[in-house]
Amino acid sequence: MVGKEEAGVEEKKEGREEGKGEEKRGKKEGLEVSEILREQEHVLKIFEQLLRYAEEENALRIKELSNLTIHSASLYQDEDSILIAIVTYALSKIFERKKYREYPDWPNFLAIIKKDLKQCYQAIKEKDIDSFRASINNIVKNVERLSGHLREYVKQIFRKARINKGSRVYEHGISFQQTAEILGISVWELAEYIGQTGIANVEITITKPIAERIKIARKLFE
Amino acid sequence: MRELKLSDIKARKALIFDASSIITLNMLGMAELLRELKLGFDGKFLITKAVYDEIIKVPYEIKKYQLKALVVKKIVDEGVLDVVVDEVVEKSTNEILAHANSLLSVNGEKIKIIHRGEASCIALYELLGIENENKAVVIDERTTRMLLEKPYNLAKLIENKIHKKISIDDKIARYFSNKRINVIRSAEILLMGVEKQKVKLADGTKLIDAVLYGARGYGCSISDKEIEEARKLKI
Repeated sequence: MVGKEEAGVEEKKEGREEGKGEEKRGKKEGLEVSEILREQEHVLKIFEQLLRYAEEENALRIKELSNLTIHSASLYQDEDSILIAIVTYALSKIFERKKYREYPDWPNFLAIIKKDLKQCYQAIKEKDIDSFRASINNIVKNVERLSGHLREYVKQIFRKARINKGSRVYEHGISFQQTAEILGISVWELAEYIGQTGIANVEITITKPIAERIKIARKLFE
Repeated sequence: MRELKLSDIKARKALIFDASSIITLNMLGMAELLRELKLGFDGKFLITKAVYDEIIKVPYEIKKYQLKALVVKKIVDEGVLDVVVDEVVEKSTNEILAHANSLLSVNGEKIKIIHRGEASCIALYELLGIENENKAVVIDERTTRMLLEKPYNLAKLIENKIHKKISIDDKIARYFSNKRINVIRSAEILLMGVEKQKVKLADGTKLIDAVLYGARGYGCSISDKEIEEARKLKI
């Protein structure tokens, strides 16, 4: 059985391209109560649907589900809700790419994912946190068992899922560095990604007219 | 790296840079602008140790960002940016972090909104023995800026996103807004570069658009509406 910290660190390493030595980001101060215990009914429903849509290989529906996971990830910032958000989004992307199904490893990979998702569902039902963490981490670890291009593609998807979910957490009002910390990514990656979104165009976030800021800057540089 | 203690800082003015603003300038290839602007600046450009780690130590471990880290390291080594390493700043950072991350709560649980690096900039700003009008924090990410300028908007932003009631601690909200911290962004730094003709790549609104949309492209929180307003200003 994989313990929480061990599993979390392992998974964070997975999400990094070159991030040797950065896994320390995965060690958070005072780990919070698991989302599984806090919102068991909600998480159970997500996994119930996730299982169904994984059977159907329905990328669109899984993507919609991934949007439902981000609120908890942003608010509670616990390892479990973060992983649920990342895995759900990554699965939607994996199912979206039809050409992956042509790889010889695909049927086995898909079978393992479905098995792990079922185990996740069962663990949530039984409020068995350790078993849930082992199963959800397995989904990520299984990527290593793939070969060739498919392994690289899927690894890349999981990595991008972290950054994508990071941008959503930031969108939910969590700061750059706090977001990077909980997602196990660097603020550089986050900045690059956020710059390509429309997050900056939210009226409520304009806290002072730009003319006033320029006035401050002019005073400083006069 | 030139490390300064608070007591070493004898300056009339100061700009305190957060990681997000340095990242934007660096990604835009405008890190050298800091050197140019510093020449005519009667004060210090400062970063905290937590910010130093974020903009140099962390990216240095990621191959894709190593070069970017080296560019920032160079301007730090050459004294364009001074790094403040002081126990007093650390202590004050803890206090600010504790307050910031107790501001908002949902169903009785506090929401961690900012990180140590961001809190350290607020701490340093407050501890500098410099008049308020002569200092500013340069921060591109919006959460810390909203916390300092409009904490209630931050609560509303989160509430709108999650469709759950967010409670705000009024006392903590006042604790931050009463600080009256001057906040600017890389956007305003770039506009100063344009105004002082340190950036001379084009003329008029074309250049303003180029620098502001460019900054936004690397995470600077500036809206279309603000860019529109900036175009109308005499820069």
